[in-house]
Amino acid sequence: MTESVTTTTDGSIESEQTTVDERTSAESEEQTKPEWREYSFAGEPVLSVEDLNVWYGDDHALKDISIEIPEQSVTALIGPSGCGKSTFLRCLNRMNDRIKEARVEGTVEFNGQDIYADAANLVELRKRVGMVFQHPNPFPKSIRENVAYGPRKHGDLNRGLVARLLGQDEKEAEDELVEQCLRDAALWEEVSDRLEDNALGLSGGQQQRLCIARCLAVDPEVILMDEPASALDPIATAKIEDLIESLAEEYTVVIVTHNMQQAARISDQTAVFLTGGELVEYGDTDQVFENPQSQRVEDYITGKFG
Amino acid sequence: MSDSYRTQLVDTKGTSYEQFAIGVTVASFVAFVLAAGTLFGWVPVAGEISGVPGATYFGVGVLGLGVATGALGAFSRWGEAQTTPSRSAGLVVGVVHASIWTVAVGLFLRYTIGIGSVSWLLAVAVGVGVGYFALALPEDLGATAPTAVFVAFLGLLFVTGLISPSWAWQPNGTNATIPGTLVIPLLTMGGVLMTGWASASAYEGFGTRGRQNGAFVLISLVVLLTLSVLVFLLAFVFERGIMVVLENLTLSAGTVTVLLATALFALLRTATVRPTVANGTDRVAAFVNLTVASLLALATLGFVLVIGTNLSISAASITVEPTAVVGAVPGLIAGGVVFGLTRESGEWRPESGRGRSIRRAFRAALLVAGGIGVLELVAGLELAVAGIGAVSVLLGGVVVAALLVAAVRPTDERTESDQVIPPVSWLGRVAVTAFLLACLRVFATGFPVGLDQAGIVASGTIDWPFITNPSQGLGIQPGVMPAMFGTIWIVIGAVTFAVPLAVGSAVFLTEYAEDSIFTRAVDIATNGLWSTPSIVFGLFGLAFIVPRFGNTPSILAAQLVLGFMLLPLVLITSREAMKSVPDEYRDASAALGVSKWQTIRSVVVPASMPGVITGVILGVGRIAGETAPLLLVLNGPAFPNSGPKVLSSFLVRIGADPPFIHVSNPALMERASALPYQLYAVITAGVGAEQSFGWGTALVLLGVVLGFFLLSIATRRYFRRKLHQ
Ligand SMILES: Nc1ncnc2c1ncn2[C@@H]1O[C@H](COP(=O)(O)OP(=O)(O)OP(=O)(O)O)[C@@H](O)[C@H]1O
Ligand SMILES: [Mg+2]
Repeated sequence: MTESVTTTTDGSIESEQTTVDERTSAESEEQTKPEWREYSFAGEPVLSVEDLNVWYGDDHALKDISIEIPEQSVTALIGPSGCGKSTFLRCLNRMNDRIKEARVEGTVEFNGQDIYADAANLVELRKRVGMVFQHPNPFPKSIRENVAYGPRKHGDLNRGLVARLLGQDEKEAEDELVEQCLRDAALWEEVSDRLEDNALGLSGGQQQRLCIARCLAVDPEVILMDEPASALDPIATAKIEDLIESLAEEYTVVIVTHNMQQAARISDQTAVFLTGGELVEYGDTDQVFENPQSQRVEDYITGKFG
Repeated sequence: MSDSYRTQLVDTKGTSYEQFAIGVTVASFVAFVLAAGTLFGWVPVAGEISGVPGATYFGVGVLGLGVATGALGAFSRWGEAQTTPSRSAGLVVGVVHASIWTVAVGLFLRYTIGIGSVSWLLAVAVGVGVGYFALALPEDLGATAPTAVFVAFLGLLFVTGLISPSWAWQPNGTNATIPGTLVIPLLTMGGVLMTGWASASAYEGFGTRGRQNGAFVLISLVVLLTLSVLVFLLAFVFERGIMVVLENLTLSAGTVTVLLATALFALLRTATVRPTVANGTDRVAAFVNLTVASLLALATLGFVLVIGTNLSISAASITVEPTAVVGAVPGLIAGGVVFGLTRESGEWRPESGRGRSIRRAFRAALLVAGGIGVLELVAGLELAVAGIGAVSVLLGGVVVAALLVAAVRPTDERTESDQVIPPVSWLGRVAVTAFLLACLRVFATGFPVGLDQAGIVASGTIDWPFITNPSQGLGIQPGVMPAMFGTIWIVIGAVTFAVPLAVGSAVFLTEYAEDSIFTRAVDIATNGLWSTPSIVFGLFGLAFIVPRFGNTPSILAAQLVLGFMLLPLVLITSREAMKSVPDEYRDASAALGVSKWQTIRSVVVPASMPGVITGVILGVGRIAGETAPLLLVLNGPAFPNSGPKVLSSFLVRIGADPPFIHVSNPALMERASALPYQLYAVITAGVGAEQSFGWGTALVLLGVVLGFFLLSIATRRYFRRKLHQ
């Protein structure tokens, strides 16, 4: 990796220049190669996907996806509706297993371990690779119970009658965690005085942020977000974007978005999927947006084709 | 003209046509209620009212409604009324009219005129003609004219006496007799259903809105009929059973006052009693609540008066003694209800140090009182005098101190006085807690609190022989206590046996088993089991369960058999409830790294609890009244002289061999009686004087089922609230 592009957003013009040169040479070398050059970055990939194919019954939803996602960064997935972004995201924590007709082939490695191995521990995997769904799906429980749900069930928070009788009730720890997660998800101000109310009484955007808080409470290593800001107003969106950027200092974030500006603003690298389930371009966000390799991607980004 | 009306979005004032139409609807409604009342025997039809036969009133009314309905149609078509009828009344209306006319004309020709089998041919011709008429004419005529003619014709039949109360119809080939007293109200109800529907449709000017309104009135009337059947059934049993049930009831006015006041308090706390602030059906409910609350308040005052004037009242063998003595158990119930209802409003969180110490002192006083009670229970001695002294000195001291503090403080701190003097709601709650503690003490130790004339005693404030005694033989005081407890224990056993099994199977079938031939087979089998006749379950119990449990019919065998009967219904409803839990919840939980079993336990099962309880509600109603299987597997004496002592005969023995703790309960292994079983015995005994005993037993059975019903509904409400609030 001699001429690798740095993952920092303030990458110098020089390094960009080198990649452009190399790209043209690579293209002339072999016509059958993908339209985009293999993207490489400094540091270890957290998730590396190779030759991933997904079928829903006979419907080939993802085709030969190979991609490496670096740690402590934000990776944006963009592409037209129905191109397989959510499908790809679900492959990363094996949520596709829960869809009966879905069939997945290929390898996905998380920290060097194949998560599609027979011996993979799904519960543990999903603890470490958290997910925020496209549609908000809070439990029909109180706001507090929603946030504390994961830690309680993992035994990290000891609550309930037995704990109270044994004098081991960890209410304070829970209060702290709930407040912290709700603050991170930019929801605390709105719900601090009604934590015991049912979460189904929140607005759609509030539910979305509650789901983010619920995911944060489990403290995963990777957070997969499927359009987390689709139901939010500009202010809450800005807060969530700030949150995502600060999360990237510690966590790895993979986010699906339909909002190009958002992807350009917050992500370090961007992957563009196009209709048919192909990964057409993957690279440094600035490059993908300013100087896309493929004509189709350029058309998509500039809005000529959706 | 109708076009200009069509463009009008908001009706500003009711036209006289609309007023006429709504008048017809209301009159139809009234006629329907009166006819239903006749059916139930509340309105006389056979007799005469000021010299005119009751049936004639019906005839005139029905005739009038028919003519009025015809007028509605005619005004709409040829008059000034602004209506928007469709081009046709529609196929359904046509078919319904055709069938009604065919049957009516056929019966009339065949039986009233008597022209043999040709009559049916003619009838079909007339029916088809009317149906065509309804279809082909514009809606305002098609919907009203056939109705009007038919209903007016009915009215004429009644007025002319062609169908009179003494008239009877004996269909050929059967020996059934359908008397006029039945035919008149039934035909009236059918007829006014039609006029109600047609006039409601006319009120909205026919068309789409008219049909909607017509359908609404039709459905309301049918709902009314269903409700009145239910009320009639309950009232019927109540009327016949209540005097037996209440025979020789003796109450202390103190207990009654406390219970009534609690009911009043609960009503005021939980329901709205101000009709002016509610609307729609809420307003009706508020009116009912207000009436009930006023009656409760009056009754409470009345009993306070009874205590004050020291006059005992007795009516029809019910006696109220003018003592202010309260029983411990009613006291516990009343106190518990008030305590639960004031849980939120009765809080007091003083911010000043003094306020907090006052609160602490009150708590300490209550604790001391409780401690004395525990001491008494352990020692078996009565320390109450000393205890009450200590508690009153403490409480009094605290109050005096609080007042002193409030008085002594400089004026500029007075604004904080609410921090030191407790709010009334909180003091009330302290009082209720003290009352509860006192009741608990009396209940546990048996020593009374207070004076002979006013205080809390362990028992004797309610003497209700029918409920608390066994039957003492024919002609003496009847009683249902053993049978009532038999039924209660059987239902409790069946529910505790069936519900966990059913929920467990539902979890397995819904969450673990793949949809396959196997699960479908189980579903079919479950449905089949639920429709299996109960006597088959009884036979199964007799042949399979009884030999395995002591070879004698027993409460346990009855619990198991009825549990088996309950199982399929609870399984079906639990499974449906679990299927309807959205997959999103399961996905959300899985994505948080929560295992499947944890997800089921903390998301799926709580979300399906309301469904499970619905199954229990429906099932308990059925099994509590089951008689046939009990004849086989319970089969005790119908009138035992003691109830099953289930609670007191649990034996727990710790032994050396596994499972080390042996629990047994001989009372469960004995034959017993149950309410439906006893009812059957009373009926088959066939002694005239015992008939009222039977009604009383039936009333108690209804009461027990209703009790379980209310309990389950409260539980279901609790779970629903947790899910949706
Ligand atoms: N559960 C499923 N069963 C069958 N087909 C599915 C399923 N989920 C997705 N698909 C198909 O897979 C393809 C990709 O869907 P996916 O949800 O991944 O799109 P997406 O890129 O997330 O779109 P959007 O931006 O609208 O969310 C679509 O053609 C869709 O019809
Ligand atoms: Mg999607």
